[in-house]
Amino acid sequence: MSRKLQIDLEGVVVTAPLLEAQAPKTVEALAAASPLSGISHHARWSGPAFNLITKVERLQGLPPENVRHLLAPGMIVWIPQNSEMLVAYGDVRLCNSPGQELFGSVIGELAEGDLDRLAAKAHTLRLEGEKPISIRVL
Amino acid sequence: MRRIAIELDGVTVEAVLHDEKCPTLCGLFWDALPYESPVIHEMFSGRAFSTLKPLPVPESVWGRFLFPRPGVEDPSCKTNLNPGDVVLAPGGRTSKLCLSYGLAQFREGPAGPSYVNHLASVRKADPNFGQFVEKCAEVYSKGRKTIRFRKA
Repeated sequence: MSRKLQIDLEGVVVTAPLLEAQAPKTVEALAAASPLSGISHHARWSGPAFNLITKVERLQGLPPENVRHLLAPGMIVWIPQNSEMLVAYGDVRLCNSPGQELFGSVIGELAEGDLDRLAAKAHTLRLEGEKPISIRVL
Repeated sequence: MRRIAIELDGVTVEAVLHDEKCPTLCGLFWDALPYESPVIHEMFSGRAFSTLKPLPVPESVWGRFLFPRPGVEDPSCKTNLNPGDVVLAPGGRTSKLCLSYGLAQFREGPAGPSYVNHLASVRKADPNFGQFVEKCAEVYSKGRKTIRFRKA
């Protein structure tokens, strides 16, 4: 049975299938480090997306896999450079600052209904500020 | 040189209007004062936030400026912002004021930077500048606040 990623953003809980075939090392490391929790912020440069930055040792120094720079709504990526998991809820172009483009390893993709529920909560990050987030590999 | 006061969450700083760059839009802004609006953080532009309540600028005024893009009067083609810059992004009913508090480049979407009108700069020598920047950063971590502009 394939593994799934559960995301809980302040009580809104969704699951997405993990792309084990496309990003085996990243998914394995994430599973080993699971569960993770912290504070989620909205993206400042990349567009409609929110993140979880974690300094867990298992997730450091992972090679890029299934790499993307432009993300479609629902894509979940691990950005090795930032040690950051980011969830896109709209069209995203990963970057850190002007001229500093980022690339992420796509590890999962949310289904439409889950994406809609999570996007509604993600919007509140800009209105209300940071929120607790936890992720778990099932 | 005209000056305005900007208040965010109890901290007030003074800014200088750039009449020399955008005489028409600075005049409209001045006439619209006092002006207040909720602000939320930008998601493409870095350390910057914008007003939710559009600054009323008649379409006839936007229509006067066609280069470098419609609605931009500022000939400096400004897109990279310095801390304390107050810029006006054109757009008729969706026009907004944007204020930067760190590394920022005005972008309306993922495609890239957009030119804006540089209306004012907060005085770096203002004794409240550091505290003001901290309050600005809270728009990112704590969410929406209300910003107030008035004539100084």
